[in-house]
Amino acid sequence: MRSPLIPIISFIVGAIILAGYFFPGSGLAAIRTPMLDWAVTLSGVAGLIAIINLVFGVHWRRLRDSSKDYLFSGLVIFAFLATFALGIFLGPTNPDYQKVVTAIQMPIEASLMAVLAITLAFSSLRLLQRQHNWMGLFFFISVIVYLLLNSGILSFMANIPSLQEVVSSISLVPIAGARGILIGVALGSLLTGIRIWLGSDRPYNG
Amino acid sequence: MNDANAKRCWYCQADLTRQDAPAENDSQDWLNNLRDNSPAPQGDDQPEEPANSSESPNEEVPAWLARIRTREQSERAASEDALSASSEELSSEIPDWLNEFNPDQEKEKPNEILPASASAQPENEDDDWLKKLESWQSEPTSSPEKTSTDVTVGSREKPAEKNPIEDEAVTPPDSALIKDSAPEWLQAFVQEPKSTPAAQQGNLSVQQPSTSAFLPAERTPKNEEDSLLRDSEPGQISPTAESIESSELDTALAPSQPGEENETWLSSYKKIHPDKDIKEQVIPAPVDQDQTKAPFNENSLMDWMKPIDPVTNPSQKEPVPQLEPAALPAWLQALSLKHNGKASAPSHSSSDFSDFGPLAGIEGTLPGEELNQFYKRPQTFSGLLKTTESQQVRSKLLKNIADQTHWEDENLEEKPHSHIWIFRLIVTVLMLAAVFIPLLFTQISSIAPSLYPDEVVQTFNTVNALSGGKPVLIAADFDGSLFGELNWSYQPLLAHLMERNIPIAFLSTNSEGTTLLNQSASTLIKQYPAYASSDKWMNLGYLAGGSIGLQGLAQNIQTTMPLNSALQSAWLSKPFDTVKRISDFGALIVITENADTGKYWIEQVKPSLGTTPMLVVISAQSAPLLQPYYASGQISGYLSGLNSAVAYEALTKTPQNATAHLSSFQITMVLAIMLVLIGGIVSLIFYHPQPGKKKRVNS
Repeated sequence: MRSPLIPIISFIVGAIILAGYFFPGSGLAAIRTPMLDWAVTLSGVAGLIAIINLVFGVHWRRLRDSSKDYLFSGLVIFAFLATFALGIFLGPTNPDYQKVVTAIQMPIEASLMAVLAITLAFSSLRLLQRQHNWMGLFFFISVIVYLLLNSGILSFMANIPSLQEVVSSISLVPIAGARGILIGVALGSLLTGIRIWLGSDRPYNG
Repeated sequence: MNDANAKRCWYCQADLTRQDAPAENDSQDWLNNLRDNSPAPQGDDQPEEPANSSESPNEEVPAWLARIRTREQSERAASEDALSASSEELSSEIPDWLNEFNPDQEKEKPNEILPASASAQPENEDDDWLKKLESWQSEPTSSPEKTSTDVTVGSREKPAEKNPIEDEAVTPPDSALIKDSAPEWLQAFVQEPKSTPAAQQGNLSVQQPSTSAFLPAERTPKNEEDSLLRDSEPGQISPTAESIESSELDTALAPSQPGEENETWLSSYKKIHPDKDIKEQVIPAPVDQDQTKAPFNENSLMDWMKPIDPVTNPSQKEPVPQLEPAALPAWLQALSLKHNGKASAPSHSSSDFSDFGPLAGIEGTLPGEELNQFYKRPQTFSGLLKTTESQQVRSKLLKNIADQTHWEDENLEEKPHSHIWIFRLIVTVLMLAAVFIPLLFTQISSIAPSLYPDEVVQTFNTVNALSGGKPVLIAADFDGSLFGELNWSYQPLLAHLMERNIPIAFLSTNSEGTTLLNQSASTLIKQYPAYASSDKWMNLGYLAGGSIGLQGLAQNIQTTMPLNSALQSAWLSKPFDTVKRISDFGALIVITENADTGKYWIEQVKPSLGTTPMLVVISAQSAPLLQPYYASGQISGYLSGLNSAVAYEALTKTPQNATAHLSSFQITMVLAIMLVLIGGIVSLIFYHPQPGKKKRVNS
């Protein structure tokens, strides 16, 4: 049987935070603020532990067991230790140390995003071939229209009042869809939060 | 009667050839006497032998046995006279061979020996016993009750007047005398006087007190008949003879004295009736199991021989161990019809079921592996598959086994290489050409927007309305993937702020946002050297906790971010010393490529800003998700993508990178539109459904 202590603690803490949010004038702010500070500190420590587990728990085990691609695990461990050591000695604001991010990490991420762009462009060629139905056709048409609108080549249409209203109306459609998505996300987040607060869901293994 | 040339007696299988001449003569003599009632047999030795033999038996016979015999003789003598007349009549009817066994003839010829027995030669061992028997009958006794005209087979030789069997006393011996003199084991066979009256009455049923003690309680008197002692039918013999015969049998078989028990075995022989079938008389009838007499009389049994009666011997009663009912496994009980779904009592053996795991408590299951030993910390739910070391070892074993196995599809031809990579290469080249060619050829102009979006104009107006003394907080929550787009989008805004000489403090909720923002601002700092110092440009560093950190930032920014990246106090030096709360900033600008990050800032921090405006710089892909917040007034304005940056640059009249790369952007967008359009048209015209989908349609 699971221990009821952890759900009780989570319920009390959640109640204090919510009460302090809805009743700012009450004395609960004195309790809520330190608790939030503790949470920030714990999240930072949790991030550090996650990094240590990734390096020494996963990659070190692969290197020790000589599993598949263990050389890459060794490279990861070496890069981590080198970056950590340089950060300790040089400091995070050192312009040379910041080149680790600007010269290595940023180009890698940008390259992956560029590959994604090319892949999406190629996939758009086979759009109707994969989705040969009405929904695929509507999606095909919407892609064409909004690419044209966002490209700016139809900006001359703004000078024409009738077309301007049409273009403005068409621009409101994504806003309506986004509102529906945001409402659904908000309701789902609210329900999930209430379930966690009441102890119905225990992602923290309580 | 044996044949003259017979070598063995047909009845007792005695050897007839070993007899000496005088012995043969003697045997023949006594046989002849039995047949023809001849005078005294030849062989003077015979009377002497009985006398001689009597001497030795007399020496051997104990006194108590002698007394028993004397009594029997006296009783028989009294009945002999009465049976003599009837015997003569029977002798005329009975065949010659049967007359041999006539007891009257034996009386006249006491030396005659019965044919069933051995010869009467003294040297012959077979005749000795018979002669000895004759000698035992030394004193004639009268027995009116037990006299028989028929001589039983195997009866011993009697004296001239009497049949040895008949001479047996009927009266029960003195049991007290017998008990005193007899050994202990024989005392149990001593018959009580009460049991003998039934025998004296001529009852056909043989009652042997000695043997009745061993009989079971349920045996009836009728069932106690011995088959060998069955008397002839009443019709064959005269009633008187029959009664006498039966009485003789009863007395013979009822050893009133222990001494007579040795002679009763002789009396157990059946009388052969000439009228009946000889086979039936000789061959004993099958004994009925129910009528079989028990060899021992239960009453005379010693204590250790008596059966244990649980009713009479409660002290000896032992509880019968009851067997535990068999317990079937639960899975078998569910299948068994006999049990009707009833679960048997669970066994208490720990090896029958396990105490943990999903099969806990179910009998007949193998104990599983305790998984608790592998999990030493609280489990976290993630999308990754977590396996234990033992599971990994087993998976490796299974893989090795599978690799060794020959699969059916190994010989199948590989699928032909597709040429899709060519099309991908073509698309890539076109895209790169569309990006780089306008940059190389600056003569290619772009189509500038004629109208400015409202959100861009509001942003411009908001920045223009900022006071010069209040610092602005910038949240650089973006990573390197969309840094290129965001860099072109926030640079005109940043330049506008620097142009207005507004202090800027920036932080990030991820580890690289501040670094990227600092790098992108380095070019502008060159244009605005005042921002080279920390009093205009302060890096607050990394804000941990995600949305929780934003809540703390909104509550008390000085506590949440006390130090800058140089590990110096951030809120003591000017111009940031006037900031006590987050609402003391002139504006909050959030730069992010993720709509969720923007929502967190809006949801967590905006309520604490009060009248402080909030601006957002977001990528074009997430702009629609933030437009509702702009429409609701939660954010004052936002810049989305390159087009907004171009418009902002046009508003600030400072064309920068966004304007320079607009032509490349527009050509690439047109190329993308053309690719989608052409691909869609070709797909509509030349539609070839895939095989898998075709089957689904048909199904």
